[in-house]
Amino acid sequence: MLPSRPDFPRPLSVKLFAVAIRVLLPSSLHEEFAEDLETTLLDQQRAVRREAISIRAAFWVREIWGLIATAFRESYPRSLGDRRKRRRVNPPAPKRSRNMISSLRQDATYAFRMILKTPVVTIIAVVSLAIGIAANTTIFSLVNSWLLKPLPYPDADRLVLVWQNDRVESDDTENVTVANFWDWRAEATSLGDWTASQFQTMNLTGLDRPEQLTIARVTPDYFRVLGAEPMLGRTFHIQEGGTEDSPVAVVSETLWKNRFGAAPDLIGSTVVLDGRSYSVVGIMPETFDFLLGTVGIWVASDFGDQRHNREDQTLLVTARVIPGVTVQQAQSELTALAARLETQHPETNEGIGVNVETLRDAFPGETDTGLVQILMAVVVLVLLIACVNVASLLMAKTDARQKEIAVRVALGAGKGRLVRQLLTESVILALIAGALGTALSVWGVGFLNTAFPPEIPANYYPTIDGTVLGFSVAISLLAGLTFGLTPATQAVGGSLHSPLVEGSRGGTATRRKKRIRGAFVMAEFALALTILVGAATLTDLFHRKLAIDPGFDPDNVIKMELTLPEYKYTDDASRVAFFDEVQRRIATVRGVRAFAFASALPRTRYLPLADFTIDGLTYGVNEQPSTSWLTISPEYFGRMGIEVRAGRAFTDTDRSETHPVIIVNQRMVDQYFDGDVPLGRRITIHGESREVIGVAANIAQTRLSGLMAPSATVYFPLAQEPVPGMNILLRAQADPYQLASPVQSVVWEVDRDQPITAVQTIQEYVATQLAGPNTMTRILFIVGLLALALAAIGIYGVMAYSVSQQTSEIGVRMALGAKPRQVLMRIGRQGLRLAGTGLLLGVPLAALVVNFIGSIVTNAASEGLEITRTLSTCPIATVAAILIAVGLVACAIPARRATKFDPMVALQTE
Amino acid sequence: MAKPNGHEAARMIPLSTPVFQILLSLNDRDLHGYGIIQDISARTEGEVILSTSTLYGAIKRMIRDDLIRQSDMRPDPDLDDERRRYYGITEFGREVARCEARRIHKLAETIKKTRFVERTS
Repeated sequence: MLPSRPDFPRPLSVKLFAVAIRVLLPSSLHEEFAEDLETTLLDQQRAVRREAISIRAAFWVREIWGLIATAFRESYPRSLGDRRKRRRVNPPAPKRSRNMISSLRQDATYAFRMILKTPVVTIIAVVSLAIGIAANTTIFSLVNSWLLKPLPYPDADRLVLVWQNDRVESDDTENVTVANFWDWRAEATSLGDWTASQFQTMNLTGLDRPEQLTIARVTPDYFRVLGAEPMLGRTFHIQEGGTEDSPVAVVSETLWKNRFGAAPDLIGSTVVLDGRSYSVVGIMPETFDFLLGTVGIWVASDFGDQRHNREDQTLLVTARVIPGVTVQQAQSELTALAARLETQHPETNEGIGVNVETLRDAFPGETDTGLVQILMAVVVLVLLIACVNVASLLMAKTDARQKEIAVRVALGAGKGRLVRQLLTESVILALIAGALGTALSVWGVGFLNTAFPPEIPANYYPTIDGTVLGFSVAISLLAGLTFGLTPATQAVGGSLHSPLVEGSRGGTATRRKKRIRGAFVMAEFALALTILVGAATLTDLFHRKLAIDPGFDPDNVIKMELTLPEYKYTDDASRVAFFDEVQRRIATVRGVRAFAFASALPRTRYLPLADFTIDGLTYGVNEQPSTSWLTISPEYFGRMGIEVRAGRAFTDTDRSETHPVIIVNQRMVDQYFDGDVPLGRRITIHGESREVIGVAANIAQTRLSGLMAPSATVYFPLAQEPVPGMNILLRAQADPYQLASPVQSVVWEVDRDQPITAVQTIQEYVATQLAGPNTMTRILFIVGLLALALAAIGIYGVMAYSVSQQTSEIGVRMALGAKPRQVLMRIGRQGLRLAGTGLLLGVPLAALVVNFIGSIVTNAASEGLEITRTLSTCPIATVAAILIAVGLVACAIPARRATKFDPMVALQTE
Repeated sequence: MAKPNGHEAARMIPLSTPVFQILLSLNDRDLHGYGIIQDISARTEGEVILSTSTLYGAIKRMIRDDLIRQSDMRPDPDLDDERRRYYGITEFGREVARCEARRIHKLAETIKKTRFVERTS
């Protein structure tokens, strides 16, 4: 009976299970009951599909167990009595119609016995493979969470980010002005579900202590568009966000728990942000985040106060492509719209284009995607090395079993059956290794997670989910087949009867086997070279970033951040007064050895840029150079141990009322003054002409310092350029954390509502800034070491085995008068030939990898970063030398042992 | 096929749990596969839940041994799904179930007499 296709959709799980039933149950059972059985299964699956995961899991465990038990029961009648009962009605089914389970069970049992018979080989094979599989599973979890896993928003594949770009200055994507947003939104027909958010830092006050938070001002339909449901209360109504008296806010679950003790009555009460009250209408669960994972409170806003603002690019704009419209079509429509706005508002919109980007393209960027791809490629190669290792091990083992195999053939076993038997062994080995590797990867994924900065949304954190587990099982099976196939076919290929002929050397390597073994050795060398060169190049790249002399002394220094709210500190004078007062009071705190203020710390992620002109030079339109800048207090250079190379540091006499001064760094001198110390020269920056009074040494000012050239930097004195956000740096005699709370109290004496955030020692701060690159370097280092170890084990194993195969040949040579040295040289030459060929084959592969890394780094460079050094230090020669040394050792040890043999004994060796 | 008799029925016991439970479920009405699983689960308060494969393995053997048969019964066409088959108990099946029930009953009596349960629990 042919089962007809059910007319309602079956979930994948049921389909897979139906296949398993067909394979495992005897045809007499599944053919007769196929449709009915599937319907019953589907009924049950439907009954549990909305249940808790534990109930669903129990259901499938029961089904799988039942299937296996039934398969065995149907194939092996348990007792004679059972058989007797069967005969009562029906004759036993003819043998041919039996399912494949019985021979499979035989194969499996036999395979287990063979695997356990050679425990050392098994352990080496399983550990090699497990390492390879663990590395692959771990890196795949990253690939999965970054590139494969669907984003947790409805119709996420139609969500796009809409950016402005300034065609005149650069093609970079930029945030959008409020007026442009509303114009686009009103007129574009290819995009719908427009929503915008604006991230700000605000001070939450009115609680026991003030706190600085990341606030998102969002259009009221924001949560609806992203399909986010509150865990308590509601999200915004569409008419909210105007200029009503009591604006509304949604609080994040984290903040609700940490600062409001998870009080349910927070809904309906108010929170005070930068002095304005907001009534709380809902709590958003921790699981919700969109692009920036650290938002504390969302407030509804239609940005009415900036409705006609076409200058400040503040909005992150999201929209959804209308079904049936492509992203390209949306891009064209918006480009036309932007062109029209250019003619309507030439004074602000000239050169302003638009860029529509799918959410998936926005993060991770090309550079990160490239790095992940390299990592994945590298670990696949590691797994390949492991496979080659195991294949050569198994080949040696099958050699030793040549006679057993011949006996089985003589007794009537078909070649296909034998190959299947050997493959079963490989697959079982691989599955054991897969289980171990997956367990190891749990640790690996945990390690990866420590490398993620908190602002990355939770959705992008790697986890081990069904996809990753499926991948793990798949690569295990694939690995089993890959390394099992060669030894299996090779074992049954050729004459199977000769090993039985008396006196034949059952273990002697034939020419063909020798070639395969040679190919294995070459493959090991080629793969190891590729991986090691790739890992070394990348490690070197990251290491340069980390190893640079920071140019400052970070010992016993603690930092804390202050951001003065603009609604309260409206002008420079009020900020100067605040900082003056805080400085005066900190000086009285016991234990403070020294302190300073700076608007940005070394190794920062973000340093503001400003256009400048050197007085006396003329510049064309849009030719103004730009420089990084920061504001510091007079003590900064001295306290941080940064050298002032010429002129002087700032002093307390550089006040807002005295003439404006700046200090530049060495890079600025080299880049814009041809190395001439520019003391007394004047630079116009921030709208004012200022005198250069000093030159400071370059320091590792940005996170990427070391990889990139230092950037030109201008320092302003605090009294002349008092920006709202400043860091207090405190150097203590001993434990700097002891200073944290007295200094906080001092700040609160000056302003009770002023929050202090990010209290950390400089070392801790630098460590978090560098967590990503650090982890990457460590991962690559570990992967490189693994590859080297696996390759060394493999090369040694194959070499040693092939030398041992030549024992009798060596015996003949020695009996004929060859000196041990000659024998050693001969074997060494053989080894070198293989190693050399392998390495030569590996060079183009390695070059390919280096090239790819180069293209990624250049890509980073085209994003505005300057690469200090090229990849010329590529370590192919070093790596090749190491591998040749490994190869020679691998030849020398077994060869020496062979020459120690008594020639007579060696001759008798089979 | 010869008409099964009491002797034949006695040779079939003891029955496996699934077989006995299926016979009990079909004692007073015909049921489809999912119905049988549900009925057993409800009657035993979740203690016995058959997997689909176990159920059909048992059904196959029970049809072969003439304990149950495929039933021609069809429910109300609106509720019906033509892919489903219904199963009913045969006379022989009922006889075997009775034999098994008597065996278990006797066993229970024995256990009661030896006060085994009270002593161990």
